Amino acid sequence: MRYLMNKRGEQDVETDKWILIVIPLFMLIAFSFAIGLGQGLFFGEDYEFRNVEAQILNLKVKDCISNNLYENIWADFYKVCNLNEKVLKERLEEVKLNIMVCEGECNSGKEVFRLGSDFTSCDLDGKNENYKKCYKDKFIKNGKSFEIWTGSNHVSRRTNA
Amino acid sequence: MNKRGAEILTVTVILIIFLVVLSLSGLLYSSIHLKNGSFFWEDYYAKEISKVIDLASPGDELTIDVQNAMVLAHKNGLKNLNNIVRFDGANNEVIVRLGENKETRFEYFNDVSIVNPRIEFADDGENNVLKFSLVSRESLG
Repeated sequence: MRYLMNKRGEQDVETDKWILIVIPLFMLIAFSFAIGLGQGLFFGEDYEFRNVEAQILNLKVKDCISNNLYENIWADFYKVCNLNEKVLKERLEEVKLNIMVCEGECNSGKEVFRLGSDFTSCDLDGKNENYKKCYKDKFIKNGKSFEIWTGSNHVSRRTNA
Repeated sequence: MNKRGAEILTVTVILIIFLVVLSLSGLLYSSIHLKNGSFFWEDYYAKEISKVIDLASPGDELTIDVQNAMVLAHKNGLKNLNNIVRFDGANNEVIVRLGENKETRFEYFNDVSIVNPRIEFADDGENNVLKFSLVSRESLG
């Protein structure tokens, strides 16, 4: 009888030991993970600017078409619209700003200018944060309607000082 | 509880306390580091300054409040607060540096040149601003 009691007592201590270790450790890991995740989401994210940048680019293109003689724009689009060709065109893969100008609607009308190829992700906005942010605007000049799509997936670069 | 059980319990409690202190210290350190860290604010200032440039026209003189950035740069041990914001005209980049080792770059697409960028320190030390002017690239030759 004494032997059994001792043995049972040791078994209880073993069980207590695992409960004491596993449950607090699990809680600690879960708690730390949740706080770390929250901090990372709050402080570690980029400042979201792509929507704003797409809107500004759209506005500049719209102003350019509105204020210039239509026929003169397309041959030297960047210069006429005072947009930096090096940033937009040569560094397209890096800077990731897209422009599409159409007579009528872009889904059905005539495309008159395009920078960048991928506008399909514009229709998927909200489904994945990594897709570019787009802005679409329509306007009428001299009785002719236009639609401008602009997109941005432009992020900052962090380099060694 | 026998003697062995008590020893196990003591060791377990010490181990758990050690792990809790270690985890909380790590969380506290990362929290302070991220909050005071330069990454978010460098990104913020680079993008906001590029927004102002993109929306402006040649001939405009721009004034931007950089007080918060200067306080952060000072806290991070940066000695020369005149250079927390720089411009790379060749690549159309705004460069913001608020920490010791890294800086953040962001491009503006407005085809302008930036002249005479400077930090103007306020007498009260609380309203320091960044000032610069925009000119067309043709005018600079």
